[in-house]
Amino acid sequence: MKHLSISEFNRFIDNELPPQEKEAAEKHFTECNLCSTELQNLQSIHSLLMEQQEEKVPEGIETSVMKKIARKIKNDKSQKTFFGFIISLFSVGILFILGFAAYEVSGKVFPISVNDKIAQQINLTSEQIKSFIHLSIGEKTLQSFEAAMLLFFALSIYFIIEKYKTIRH
Amino acid sequence: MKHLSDIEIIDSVLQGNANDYSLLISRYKHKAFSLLKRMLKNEMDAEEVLQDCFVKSFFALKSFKRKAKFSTWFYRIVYNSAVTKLSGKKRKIEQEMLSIDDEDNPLSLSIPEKEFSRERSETLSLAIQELPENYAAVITLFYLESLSCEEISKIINTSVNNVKVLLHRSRSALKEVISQKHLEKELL
Ligand SMILES: [Zn+2]
Repeated sequence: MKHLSISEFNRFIDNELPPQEKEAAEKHFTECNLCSTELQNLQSIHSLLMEQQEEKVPEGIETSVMKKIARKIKNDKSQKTFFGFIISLFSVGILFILGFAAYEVSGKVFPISVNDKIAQQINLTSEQIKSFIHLSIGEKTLQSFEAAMLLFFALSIYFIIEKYKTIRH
Repeated sequence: MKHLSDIEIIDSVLQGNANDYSLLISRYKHKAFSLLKRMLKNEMDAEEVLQDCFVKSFFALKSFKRKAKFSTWFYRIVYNSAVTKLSGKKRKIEQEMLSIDDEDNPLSLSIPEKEFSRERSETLSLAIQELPENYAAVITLFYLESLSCEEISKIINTSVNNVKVLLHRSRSALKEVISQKHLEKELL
């Protein structure tokens, strides 16, 4: 019989050789000094590895991990509230902008209409509402309020983009 | 107190007793640390990655399918985190090598001879750390964690046969390290 291959040596140690091959190998070991030395070497590595000990991690890892987990839960929660706040800011911004747009175009939407009566009615009502707003808060205040709302809207979009970036990371 | 199984602990954690998670940490910390230390070849990195792995696995517990063993699932997280950490490290070293033309090769992680004057188990562990990370991983999972080749194949995401080949090669490689460092007397 030829010398054993590395794979055969290993399978012999792991007891994975079929009985016939195992027997032949055992017989070969009694005849071949080279292979029996190699087997001894590998077997000593095998038993050396069997008796290895685990590495000890420094004390207190439980506490630090649980602290990290608690911090992460808290962070996620506050991020969620923050995100909710931004979303509501965003929706309020949209509502106001729609409102302003409606305010600006009111009275002009239906200059010509298929149904004259309805158009007149709508235009009249919006004209009335417009003059009421104009009288009660004044055009200037309204405009600055509008600008502030636009700013809010832009800010909330900025926050949403930032948030999206961190989520992607 | 009666001994809880991994699954019982996980159920309890998922029911809201988050603190029970520390039982799982205590159960796996040393073994996972051994795997990390031998793959990363650095104690500080190993501890840092281990903490991250426990945090990661806590938040992933919901997605843990009970068909597999928790240990297999968890070691998979540990192994993958080590691989990620190593690839980041290698990239960093490559960048440093590009920027500074250093004559000694920082990629060789060899241990100074004089460190080999410790206890037998420590010497062995240092010798294992000399092995490439996949050899060190397979040897640790097979001998220290007593996992089967099939379980190991799931953890390191390869075929069972490949695990066996790796195991064979790592034994021969360890033999090489031992003879190169003249540790036969001490270890064998
Ligand atoms: Zn022979």
